[in-house]
Amino acid sequence: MMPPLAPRFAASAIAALVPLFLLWWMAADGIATTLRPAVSQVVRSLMPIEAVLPDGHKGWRVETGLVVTEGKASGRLEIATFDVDRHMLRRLSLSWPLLFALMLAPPRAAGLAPRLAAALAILATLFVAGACVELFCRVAMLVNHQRIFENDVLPTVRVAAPAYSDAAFFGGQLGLSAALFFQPFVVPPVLWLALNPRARSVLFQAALDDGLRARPDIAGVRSARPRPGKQRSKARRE
Amino acid sequence: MLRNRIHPGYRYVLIFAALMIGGMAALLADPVEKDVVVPFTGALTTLSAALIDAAGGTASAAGEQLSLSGHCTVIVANGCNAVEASVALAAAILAFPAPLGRRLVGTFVGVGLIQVVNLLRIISLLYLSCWSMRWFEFFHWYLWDAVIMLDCVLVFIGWCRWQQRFRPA
Repeated sequence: MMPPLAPRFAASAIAALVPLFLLWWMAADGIATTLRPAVSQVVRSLMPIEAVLPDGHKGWRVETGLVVTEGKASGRLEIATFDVDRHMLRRLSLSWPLLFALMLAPPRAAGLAPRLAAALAILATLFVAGACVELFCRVAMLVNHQRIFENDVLPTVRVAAPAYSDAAFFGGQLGLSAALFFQPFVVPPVLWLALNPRARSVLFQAALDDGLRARPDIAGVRSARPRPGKQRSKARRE
Repeated sequence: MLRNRIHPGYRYVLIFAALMIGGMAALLADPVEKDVVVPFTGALTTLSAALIDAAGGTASAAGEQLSLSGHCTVIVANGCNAVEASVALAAAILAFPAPLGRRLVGTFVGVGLIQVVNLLRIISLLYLSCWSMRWFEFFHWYLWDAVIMLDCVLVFIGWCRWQQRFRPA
């Protein structure tokens, strides 16, 4: 006899997470290295950044186009640079094993391979977006000489550039907070539900039915379509 | 009315997104940080120290700092207090199309469960920091976050299944 769906889902997701997490642990630096050119391309077109290079410690060295005005090491012309820690980059891809663990646990969607490919593409895009926000915040810290988070260390140099507006700075804070602290928790379940109609129907169908009962116009349209009805009855059997 | 014009599924996504963004923005506001998050984090370290003492260890808490026998100290900073995971879970439950009472029960019980797991996380990280910084970093940056995320998903699914029991047949 099959165990009920929720415990089966929990056990399968945890069982899948262990090897996927190990796999991710070995591949995380490779993910950051592979996506570095894409990040470099985007930030060079949007911010005063000239190059995003490897730093030799599996992190990144970012060369800005900002001239240092205070805190120079020598009397010569200096361009501000900063390093992005490998832990920070790894954290941006932390949601990858979590999402794949959820997608591999029952109830699985039909046509899993294309859905996994779609998930991979979305996760890669989110990594690039998160890294761009991180780099924007580091540039904003340099330019505004202001901390993004309370625990941040202020840059030792000052640069010649007009400061970003308060709204842009707050937008950066919000984006970085989302990328580092919320993205690992929110992206896997949201994408899992978006890419898995069976999970969606098991979790939400009862509530959606209640909502649709109040809207006979939509309920009528839905009942004329055969596929959602089939999925619903399958889900209920489980 | 707008409520009747939007499909319930899309309405859920919109309300969830609005609550999430509102929660994230609120956590960045200075008054929330000083008057809510910092005292809450202090309470977490005090509770962690009390639990360690009750289990036979010797721990002390001072603000956001938690120390074990004066040898190892960890600072429970933002991001380590599971406030973000709690906001995400609360947003997912509060946006759900269910009666308010069940949503409130789900939010309080769910956030409580997340914080229980987070207490285990803080205590285990304190002991790991005494033993190996390498393992401390692995658990701190990655593994515990994965566990808390999975905890959030399981709590949410459990609550969804629980609240569906009350529907008329």
